[in-house]
Amino acid sequence: MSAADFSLAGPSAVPLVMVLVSLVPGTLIFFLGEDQVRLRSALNLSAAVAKLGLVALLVPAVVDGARPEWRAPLYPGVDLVLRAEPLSLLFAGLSAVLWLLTTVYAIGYLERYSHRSRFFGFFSLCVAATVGISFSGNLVTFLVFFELLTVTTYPLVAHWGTAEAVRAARLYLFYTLSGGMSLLAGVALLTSRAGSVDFEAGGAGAVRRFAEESPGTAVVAFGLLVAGLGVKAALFPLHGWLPRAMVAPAPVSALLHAVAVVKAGVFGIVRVVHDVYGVELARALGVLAPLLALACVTVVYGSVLALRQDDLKRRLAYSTVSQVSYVTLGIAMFSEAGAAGGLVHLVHQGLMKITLFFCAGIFAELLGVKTVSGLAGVGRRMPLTAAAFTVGALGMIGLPPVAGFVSKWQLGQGALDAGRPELLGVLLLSALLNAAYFLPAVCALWFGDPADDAPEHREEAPAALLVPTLTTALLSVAAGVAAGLPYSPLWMSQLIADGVYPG
Amino acid sequence: MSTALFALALLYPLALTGALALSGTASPRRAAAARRLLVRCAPPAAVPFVLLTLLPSAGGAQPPALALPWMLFGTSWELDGLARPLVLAGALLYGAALAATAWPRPAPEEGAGSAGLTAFLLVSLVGNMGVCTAADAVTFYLCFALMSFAAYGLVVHHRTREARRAGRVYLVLAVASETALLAALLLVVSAGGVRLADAPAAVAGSEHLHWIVGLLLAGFGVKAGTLPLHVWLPLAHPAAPAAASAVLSGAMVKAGIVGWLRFLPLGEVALEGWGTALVLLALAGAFLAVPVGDLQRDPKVVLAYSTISQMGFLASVVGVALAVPELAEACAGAAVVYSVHHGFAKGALFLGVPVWKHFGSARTAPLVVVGMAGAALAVAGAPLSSGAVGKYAAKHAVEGVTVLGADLTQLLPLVATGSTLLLLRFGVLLARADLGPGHRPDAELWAWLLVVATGIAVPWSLTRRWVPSADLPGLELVTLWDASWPILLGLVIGAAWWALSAREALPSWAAHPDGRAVSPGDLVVPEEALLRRARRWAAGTQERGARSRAAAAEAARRLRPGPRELDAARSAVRAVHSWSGSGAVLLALVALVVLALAVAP
Repeated sequence: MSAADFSLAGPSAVPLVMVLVSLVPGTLIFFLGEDQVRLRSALNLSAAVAKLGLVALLVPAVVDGARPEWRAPLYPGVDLVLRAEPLSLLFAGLSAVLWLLTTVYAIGYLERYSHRSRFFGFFSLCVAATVGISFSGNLVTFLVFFELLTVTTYPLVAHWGTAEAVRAARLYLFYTLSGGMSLLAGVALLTSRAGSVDFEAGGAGAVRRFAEESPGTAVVAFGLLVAGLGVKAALFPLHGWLPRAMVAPAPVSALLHAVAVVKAGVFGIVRVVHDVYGVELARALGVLAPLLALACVTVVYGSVLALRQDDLKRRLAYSTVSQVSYVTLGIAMFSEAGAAGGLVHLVHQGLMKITLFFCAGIFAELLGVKTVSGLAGVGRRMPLTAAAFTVGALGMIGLPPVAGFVSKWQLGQGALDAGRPELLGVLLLSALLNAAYFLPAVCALWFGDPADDAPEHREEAPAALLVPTLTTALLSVAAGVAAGLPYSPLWMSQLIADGVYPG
Repeated sequence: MSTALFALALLYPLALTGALALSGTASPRRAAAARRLLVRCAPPAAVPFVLLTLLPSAGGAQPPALALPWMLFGTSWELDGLARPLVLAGALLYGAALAATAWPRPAPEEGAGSAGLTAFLLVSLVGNMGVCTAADAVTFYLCFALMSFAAYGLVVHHRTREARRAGRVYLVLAVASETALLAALLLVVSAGGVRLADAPAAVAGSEHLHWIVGLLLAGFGVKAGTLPLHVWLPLAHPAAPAAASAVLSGAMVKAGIVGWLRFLPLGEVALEGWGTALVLLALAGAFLAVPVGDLQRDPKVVLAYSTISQMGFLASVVGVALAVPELAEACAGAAVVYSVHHGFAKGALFLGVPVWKHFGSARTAPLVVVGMAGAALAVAGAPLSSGAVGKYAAKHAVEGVTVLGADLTQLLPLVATGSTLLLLRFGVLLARADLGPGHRPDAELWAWLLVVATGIAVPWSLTRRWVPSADLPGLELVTLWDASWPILLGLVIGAAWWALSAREALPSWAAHPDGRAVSPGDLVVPEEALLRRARRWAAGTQERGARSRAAAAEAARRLRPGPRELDAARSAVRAVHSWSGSGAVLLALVALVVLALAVAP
């Protein structure tokens, strides 16, 4: 490779390097011995830091208009394409930040357990797949990495090896592979009929021409694609695997919910609506309305079910079902502000939810507290962790100045811009339900009376668990407070939405 | 300079709160020392706010303002004419409350946890002052949320069962109010009212006008204690420490009024229906609170009902402004003046409860009695008191308005009669209360007397200089009589009641009220019972659901294939799993697809 390969305009190896940065260390880790902790951690962390640095370097250039692209023929007529653009950087940036933090957390969390090489190997591969998904430049490339993600997360969900874990992992595989079939059918249908579908802000030209000829088939393809993506995005009624997958180790649940699997699904929906069909065409075909309805149902349904769980991780899982559909809601409501609100929630929900899962992991691991009712009085024993949990929970409810408020406000403005004030009702109903299932937990933490036999002394988590938790909590606040600054998630989302809704 | 002072005013309390929170991570001994120091640094947090209001504003000078375009969707604060008097009164009240918390009595149950109380008071201070000075809708919502949720910490401070119940009721209403407001503000902003200066006009022109007004009335009504959303007040006030009750009743409930004055389309469009509805609800609250409050046993509950009654008075003035655009400006001015006066007077009464306990038996008792009587007379609106200023301005603002055939200027003075009755009851209860051990006069007493004195003096000069739209009462005999007769009427009724109950001519629940005829929180009691029943019903449904699910599972188990069917299925699966089997299936599928593609158009 020459220096020219790393140019930021036109053909460039930069996107490929982004994927390899996680892929290569992930592969190497499998060959490390179980007790080579230092080497493994060093490899993991340096790769994560390198990736974060690369994304940080790439963002200003891409915002200025550079679109570095890497292409290799896959089979005649279809290339494997990796391209960096604002939307891919939004997702890749989130995954880079959270990968680094989750790696630190996982090193601390799994200290006492076995099979760590297998865990970290698949962990890195899973992140590599996520990066591949974010940089994919056409449907076929997207499909490849999407399925890679399915395969690499299975061993993570099954990690503990208990009967329950294996059952949950098998259910996960059943759901995601069925979704994969549907996605494959959709991609095959579109690619065979319309030719190779390159992602283009505002819709791919090939798809537009194809939809003019045979709108019926285009609608069928859209249905197949969204059904396939909806499994990972936990869209009602395809969400069944998510709460069951909670048996996975805490860092896996955290990554699964915040950036990897669930977000990959919803990111795919964004790609299909924005960059494959284009919002104009999608609306003309009449496929946005059912998607919007589905998102509304999921938002409310997930919240209602979350309210009924006492198990902390299950409550968080159902909350994810609800919150991730905010993104779909924003995409499908057909307004620029709404799309920006959906996109920014992709990032904000990731930051807040990973904080909550980190906290839940700490509570379970150090105190043995796994239920909401068990949280009473924990605030006195673990003030910092409890503070991080509070930030995440208040953000989820949508209280300023935490990031969740910015998403909710932007989505609300979008709903009104689109002339759909009834969507405001959905958003606020969900906010009420969020408050109903998060505030009791927060109040119990700080104001509840601890159980009589609970020890009084302070026992904060070790630094490896605590530092990532506090960092994501701080980032959740920072993303909200500094939303008006350039390069904030909100700013990036508005930039992307502006490209999708021209004029 | 003024911008820096503004930033300091908002940042200092927050930084102090952060330091208080972080002190918890130190070792217990050092944490206690750090907290003692930090808590004493808290009362000066009110000083920058007071200084801001005293900056000269004559000659078209720009009012102090602060804008942070990078924060959220852009935040901005401005100390405009409406905010100025409210900030002065609120800041002084918070300062007194923080001082009362910083130098608590040595009694351990009162001294414990003053760091937490101080922290929540500081956050409430920032939120409350921010609500008054916010210049755009997002900033307003931010500050309102900050204040509302910090107040929860004030209510549950003592962690008793009553405090937790009060906290629960408060939180439910606060969340409902926040949700209604979020919807309302989103609609306002979408109509073009991002800047609060443009908000009323934007609301008037919005296609969702009625939704917005309804949501605003409900959302701010919770804070302002408007019937039937007032139920949190009589629970929260007795549960919270006196200093917290003082700011709750003195400053925080006024945030509801500020919200109405900022966002409702006052003076833009005549909304007779909404205005009449608000006036009726407000008057119902103002008058119904009197008998309910008079039947209570806890002096702080009586004061809470007095607040509900007074807030009803205020809300009725806002209702008039909503219905009659021509009166809007005068009504808004009167509402501000009344808020300032009531903030001081009610704050002084609440802070006076522990002061009486500590200084009521010593030589200082006359001083306390004079102070309490002064504050009580002000609340009732006695001539020459600050209350007379508020009542006079309000009465003049609503001149000529009738509601359901009754002249409002005739009705409003009767609220003062109710206040007199409530405060008589408060006085009786206080006189009967057990006094603590006597104390030598110290900072607590002097600070409280300062609040009382300021409360009497400030509303006069402040109204004259800062609220030109409000009328000041003169010294004519008519005016003095107008202010006096409602109180005299109240005294007569009170005396009659006393005489009747002394002769046992009244039923015992009225003669010797013990708070059981109507429990504190009135409506909330049946509401809670209803909720409990709903929860039991839901639990029953869930149980029935579980039972029917179990039955279904049992039925499914019986339908499960027997060993013979299972064997057949297994061999079929084995056949498909083998290379040749799966190949055949694949071929068949491919053939089907080819066929489908060939047939398809």
